[in-house]
Amino acid sequence: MKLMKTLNLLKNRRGVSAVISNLILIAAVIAVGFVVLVWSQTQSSNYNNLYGNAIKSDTDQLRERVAFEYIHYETGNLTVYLMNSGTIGDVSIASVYINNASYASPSLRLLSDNAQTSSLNATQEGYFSISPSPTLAPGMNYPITIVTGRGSSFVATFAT
Amino acid sequence: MFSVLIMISLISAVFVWSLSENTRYNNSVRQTNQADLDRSNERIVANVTVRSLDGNNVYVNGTLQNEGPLSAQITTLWVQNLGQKTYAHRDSLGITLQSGNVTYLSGSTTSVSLANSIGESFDCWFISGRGNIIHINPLFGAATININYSYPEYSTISNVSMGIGIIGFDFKQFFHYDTNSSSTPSNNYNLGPLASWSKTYATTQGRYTIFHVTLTSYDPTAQTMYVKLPSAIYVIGSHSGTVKFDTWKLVNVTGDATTGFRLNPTYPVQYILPHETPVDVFFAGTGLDGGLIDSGAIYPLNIMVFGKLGTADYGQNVPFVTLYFN
Repeated sequence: MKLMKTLNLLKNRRGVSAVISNLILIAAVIAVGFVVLVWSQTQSSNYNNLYGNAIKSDTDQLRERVAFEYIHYETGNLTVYLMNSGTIGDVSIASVYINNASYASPSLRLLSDNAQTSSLNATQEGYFSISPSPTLAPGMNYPITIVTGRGSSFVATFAT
Repeated sequence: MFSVLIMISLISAVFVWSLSENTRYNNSVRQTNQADLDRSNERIVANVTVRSLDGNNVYVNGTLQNEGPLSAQITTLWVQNLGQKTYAHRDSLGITLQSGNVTYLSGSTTSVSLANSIGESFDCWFISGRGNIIHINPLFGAATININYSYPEYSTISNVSMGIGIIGFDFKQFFHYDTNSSSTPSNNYNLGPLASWSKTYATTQGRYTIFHVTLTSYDPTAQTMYVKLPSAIYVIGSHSGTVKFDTWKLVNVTGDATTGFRLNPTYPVQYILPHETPVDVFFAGTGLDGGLIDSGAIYPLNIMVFGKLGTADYGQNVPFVTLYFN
């Protein structure tokens, strides 16, 4: 008996009604729509973050200025006195280039109290010492380039 | 339709946000350009001399003038001993100069500790808050230039006629301290800060009075001048109708204008005037050499400077102010 009923149902091609099928379609469209919405939102949020970080990085770099107060070279030791003369703090020294040789992350100290610091705030003065190798020839002028943590570079010339 | 609206609102939000970020970037560029422009427009003229008086300290004296359109701050002073290649600095100077203003540098506020510096040549420079380096005005008197081409505007030079003398007197720094007694005070007598002294051109006859004058040597050969006793201020005035001569002699005063001076009448005294460096010199007395000068009249005061210029003897008479005697 049951088998007969099942065969009859399979033979009936009218199946699901139009209302049900529409509901299923709408549900599918809404589901896909939400997926697309979430995906779009994630994408735009990622874009916003990337673009915002890029703009912030550029503006911070723009606002960086470093003044060379004094550069002293004696007995193989070079001391560079700096001032953060820009309008942004947290200026660190990533690397120093002298005579085609580079020196990474020199130890920075504050001019006011000789305390070690990782960066200079706006208007703060500091200094670092390095021992150029090979030693610099006396009576010569050398260019020195410092590159900050944000990627700005500042150049000065000093005499030995 | 709903999806299209959502997409439009999303795109609009991203567009507006990008626009605001671009505006932020443009503002930063504008501010940075302005800061760079301000930095390049900063113009401070340092008419200073660098001297070591005691071998361990180097003094920077003179004036700083802001000739730029903006106010400026001077943060740090650097001094280098050119002979020994040693150097020192003084930070946190905290000198603020409005446009056109002049500040006078003297005393320990612009000195640095630099050992074994006597007789050496120096260079010095200042650092401004905007990061500019201010070197000594080459027309004034750099370390190796001993002939000055411009005088500080606040001094009046006594050599109005060539050959009369080389000492300048600063009218703005003429003060006197009038005691209430005609007797000489004991040593370490408290005179207080200079701001409490009288700046008038009147005093009372017969009282023990201390005169504060600021003298500057403009010796073209840049030698140091030594002012010694019997240098004095003198007045030729009427004493009951008879012309007599009264003096206020060079006197030992210690301390400084801000924290206060102390008078030491019996201590030895000598004032050292380095080239182009204003120095406070004190004279004291009752002016009773010829008895009481007639009151109610004005008299001309003169400074008799006597001492050494380098190693040679030097003497000069400086007519400087007129004083009313009550």
